Amino acid sequence: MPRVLQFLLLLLPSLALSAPDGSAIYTTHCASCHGDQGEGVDDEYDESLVGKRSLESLTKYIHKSMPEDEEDLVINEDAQAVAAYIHATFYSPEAQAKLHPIRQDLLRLSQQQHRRSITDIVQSFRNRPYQGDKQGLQGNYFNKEKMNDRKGKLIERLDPVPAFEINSKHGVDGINPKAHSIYWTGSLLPPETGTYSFRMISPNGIRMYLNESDHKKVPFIDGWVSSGNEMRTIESSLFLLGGHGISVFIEFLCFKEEKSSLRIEWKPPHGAWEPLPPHILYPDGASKAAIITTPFPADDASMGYERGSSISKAWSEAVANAAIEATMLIFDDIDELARTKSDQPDRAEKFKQFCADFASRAFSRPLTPEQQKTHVDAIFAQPGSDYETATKRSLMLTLTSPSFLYPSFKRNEKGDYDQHSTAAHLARTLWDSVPDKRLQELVQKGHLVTPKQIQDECWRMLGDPRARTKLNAFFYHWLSLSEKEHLNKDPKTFPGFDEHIIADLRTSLNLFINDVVWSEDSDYRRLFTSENVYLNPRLAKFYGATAPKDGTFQFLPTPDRQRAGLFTHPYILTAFSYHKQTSPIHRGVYLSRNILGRFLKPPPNAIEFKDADFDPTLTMREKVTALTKDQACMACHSIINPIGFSLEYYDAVGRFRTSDNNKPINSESDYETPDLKKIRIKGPSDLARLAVESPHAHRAFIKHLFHHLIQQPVNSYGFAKMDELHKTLQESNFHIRNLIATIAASTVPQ
Amino acid sequence: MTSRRQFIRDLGISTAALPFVSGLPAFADRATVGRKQRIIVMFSPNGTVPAKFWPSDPNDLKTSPILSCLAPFQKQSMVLKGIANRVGGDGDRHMRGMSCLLTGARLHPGNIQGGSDSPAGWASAISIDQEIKNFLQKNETTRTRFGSLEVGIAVPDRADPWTRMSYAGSNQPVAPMDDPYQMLNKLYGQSKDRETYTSILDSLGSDLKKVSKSLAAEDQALLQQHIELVRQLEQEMQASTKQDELVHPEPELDPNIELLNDNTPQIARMQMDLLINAMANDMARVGTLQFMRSVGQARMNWLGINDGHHSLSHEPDKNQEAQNKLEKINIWFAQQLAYLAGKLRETPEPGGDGNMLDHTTIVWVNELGQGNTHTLDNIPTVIIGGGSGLTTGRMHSFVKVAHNRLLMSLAHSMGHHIPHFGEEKLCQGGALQFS
Repeated sequence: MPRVLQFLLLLLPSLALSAPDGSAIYTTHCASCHGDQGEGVDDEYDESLVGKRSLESLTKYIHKSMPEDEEDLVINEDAQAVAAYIHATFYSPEAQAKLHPIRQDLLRLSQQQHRRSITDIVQSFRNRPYQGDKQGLQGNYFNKEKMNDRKGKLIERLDPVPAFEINSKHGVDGINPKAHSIYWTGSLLPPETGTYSFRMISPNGIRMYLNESDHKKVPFIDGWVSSGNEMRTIESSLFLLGGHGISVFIEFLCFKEEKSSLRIEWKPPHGAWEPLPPHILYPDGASKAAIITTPFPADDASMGYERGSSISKAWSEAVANAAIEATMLIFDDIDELARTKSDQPDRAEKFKQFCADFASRAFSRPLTPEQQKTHVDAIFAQPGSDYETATKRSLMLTLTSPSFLYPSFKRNEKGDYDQHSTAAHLARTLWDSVPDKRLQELVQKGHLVTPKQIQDECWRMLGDPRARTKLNAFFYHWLSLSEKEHLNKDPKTFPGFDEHIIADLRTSLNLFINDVVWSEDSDYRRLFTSENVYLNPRLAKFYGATAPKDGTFQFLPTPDRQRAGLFTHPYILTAFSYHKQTSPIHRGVYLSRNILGRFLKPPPNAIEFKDADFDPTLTMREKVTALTKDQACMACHSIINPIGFSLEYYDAVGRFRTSDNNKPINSESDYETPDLKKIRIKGPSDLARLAVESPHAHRAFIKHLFHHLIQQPVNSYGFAKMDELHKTLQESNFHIRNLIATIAASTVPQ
Repeated sequence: MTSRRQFIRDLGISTAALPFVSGLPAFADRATVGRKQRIIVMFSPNGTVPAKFWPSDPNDLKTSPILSCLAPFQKQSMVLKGIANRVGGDGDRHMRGMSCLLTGARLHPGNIQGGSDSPAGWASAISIDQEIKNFLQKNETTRTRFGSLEVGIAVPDRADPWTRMSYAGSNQPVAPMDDPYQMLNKLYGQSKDRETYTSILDSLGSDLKKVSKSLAAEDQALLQQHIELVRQLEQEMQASTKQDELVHPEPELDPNIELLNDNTPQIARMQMDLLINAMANDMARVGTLQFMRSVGQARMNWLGINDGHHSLSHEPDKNQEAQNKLEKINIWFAQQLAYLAGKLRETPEPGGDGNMLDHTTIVWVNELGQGNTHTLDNIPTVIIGGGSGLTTGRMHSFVKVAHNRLLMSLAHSMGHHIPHFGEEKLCQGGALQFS
């Protein structure tokens, strides 16, 4: 028996003797051009043999095309054996992951985490804003004898929105039409982080206070002195954190004036001016929030998702500015936060204790004796420094300290992870923040240890508005919508498609996503199978549906009745379209990559779509077909085009149509699955089936979600991580929230 | 306690948006073209005591019981009698007296009402201080960081036509800042915060070095970069501190003065010192100094007067006790003016000839002539300082001349030759001439 075979037999006793040896074949026929480990050989084939073809596809390819110019050398079983060897040893992503285990990178806080952590640390010294079940603002109505009295209360009631018009059915009996006042109290829950503008429209006296601890502070909008009873608009903007409720106090005064009315409008980030919507208002108050407005440079997105993996001068300056801003915000209310008063003899002691508590909450664990010394005691003991300055120094040092900025430093003195690390990990993963009181209590009691304890806590944390805000942002990231900020189209081609429609579409998409994610079954599959779209009267009119009766958004069928959840949501169809026309290529690329999990290489030669180059009588499908007919293009466009074409029934603003350029739409084509099966795709419902059934789609969803939550590659948590999570998803009836809780709980640092 | 947000709103921008190491003041080396001129409008409320105000000898301030403390500035002073606020329209006289004082234009009708008269709103035009500020800010050689500073002393925390005299335009009142700590923050806050921050960089550096030791080699690079950036920042801050040395060092404020009525004298000193300091560092060339407000009820316990100022001002002439108190109150205001003028005179003009008073005009005005009649005639007006070149060293008497013409004179003296100001028909005759 030849020695080689003897050796092989020892190693692989299960291999039949007759089976071809893939490794040997590779060494003989392939390695001269591809290198010993598929790394490539200069002047031969210098690209490394790494890719995402299935084993079947690779086998076929080798059988047919390899080795170059001697294609008959390796065929049939030999091709199969060598393909199996290549696939398992270095070609497949799995093989690569084994060859080059991915490590978890050292990360600093991302911009979002940084901002929210500061706000929440300061908030932990106050009550956390809580928005209960009741919605609207508490309205108090008065008649006015004199300008400044507050007698003659007429009624106190819950108003859905703060608005008034004397000449309409206001329901306030006995009101003096020329002399009355109203004030509203409650809180506002911003859905996302960004700059919000508000405007008050009234001919009367108006004032609005946002995020003030008491209304004696500075009004956010001050129009208390009216001007000739003439209608006027007063506008102001501020930066708010998504999911962090802020207090609202609004005052209105009509005094010896004929006209009496008030409207309030807002413009949320990505939105258009619209009446203040009821769903963000709550009669429960909120304590003041310390919101950092310092601009941060964009976080590194080179891995396809944003994370704090790099630092720069701009970043370190932003860290310093944020620390200074936070310190000044804290000093606005230092006595309240440190629970003392300006004339208390123990004020210095209270400040010092505050600094120690602050540092401990920022580092998410009790201070070590050394930290207590460097971050607090030594600063307060500095000769010639008063305690107020010492407090500022201590806070600034804490907020620029690596123990705050780098989550992976959240370990105990021995360098081990403990329950504090777990709490910090969960808060960062689910909220982009620091542990709250409840998490701290659990740690103190030693109740954050078992997988069940941790998983239960994850479920509790998912009920917090911060989790919603983080999840909402995930969907925009997963669907590549965060990079598509401007959806404007050619107004001549699409009259009526204005900023209001765009803002409504965004609301509609958010409502749909929230509906799916936060419902009982939280079913991933429903993201693709829903035939209804959330429509308000304006959208219903534009998309030709029956308008909802009560003027709000309702989940309604569209006239075509062929919609398939995200695939056909007009916001997404619009985002992936040209200015005047659809773009099957954009739709195909983004949807196949993000949702269906297809791997697409960058185009071999970048060709720009120039509409003017084509015969003007062609349909978009015909143009794209002509543009991509080249064999090199079709490697990927055989995947891209069928997806894009299947959505050709929807124009560039997502309206249903039956013809393009006066020719009937043809949406059918053959799509090649990752397993090289050809399937017929006719329309959106076929795409939905793929998203629901294809493991590639599931894994794409898991991967993106994991990146958004953890900001590390999935494989850095072990090669089996993806399989494990995929199993969780399938076994839980595709429960999205369960998947989130599992991701958070199963990545607790050990 | 100073409010960071108020501060940011007042600036109109987030300070955090500024580059970290910005040469904030950096005024020392700026070349000044032509002669530097400044103007400060000082306001005190509720009218004066005419019998004790107007000097019996027009050439001698010592012949006025109220103004005698200003005698040291006789040569650089001028008293104007017969100036009248003739702007009519909605609003009671206090309201119009206040909100038309520097605008010379009517109030909008509105929803704010005092005891009587029709309700009114804000002034319908820009005020002269803001007009002059805009004029100076337009020109690069006269432009300053703030342009103007609106300083308040014991101004209540309320925005209405009785509390505002400065207007950026129609319906745009400018709030005076009445908290010296907030003022200090506005003027020097950023550099102070950064100074505090710089003082921790050393500890931060050692903290970073310490944790970096525990890291795997692959992760050390990031921390090394971080350490390097902190070190760089430290160096830049040190360099910028040297560069930004002020002509006049930032004043030290007594840190324990609360914003209470009884602390008004200390607060007044602090605010005036800050205003002079800011002007010495050329942060602004226009200032307003507003004591209390129209209808102000300050209780001047520090003068042994326990009644509210406005109530006292309603007392008839024959109530001698009340008149004596009112005289004392107005003497106190005159002393404030004397302090302001004196302090300016003590301070050499930065980068120029003489002292700061030689380049500054202080205009002391009131919203009424007399409290118990609510007259808008004979508004007690005193001008001190060489900034305008207007002062003649004596009293000038007019008969009910519209104060719009005085506002024009002020603008003209600052090089801003406007043909009229406020209500146009009240400007007939043009700027007042003094000779």
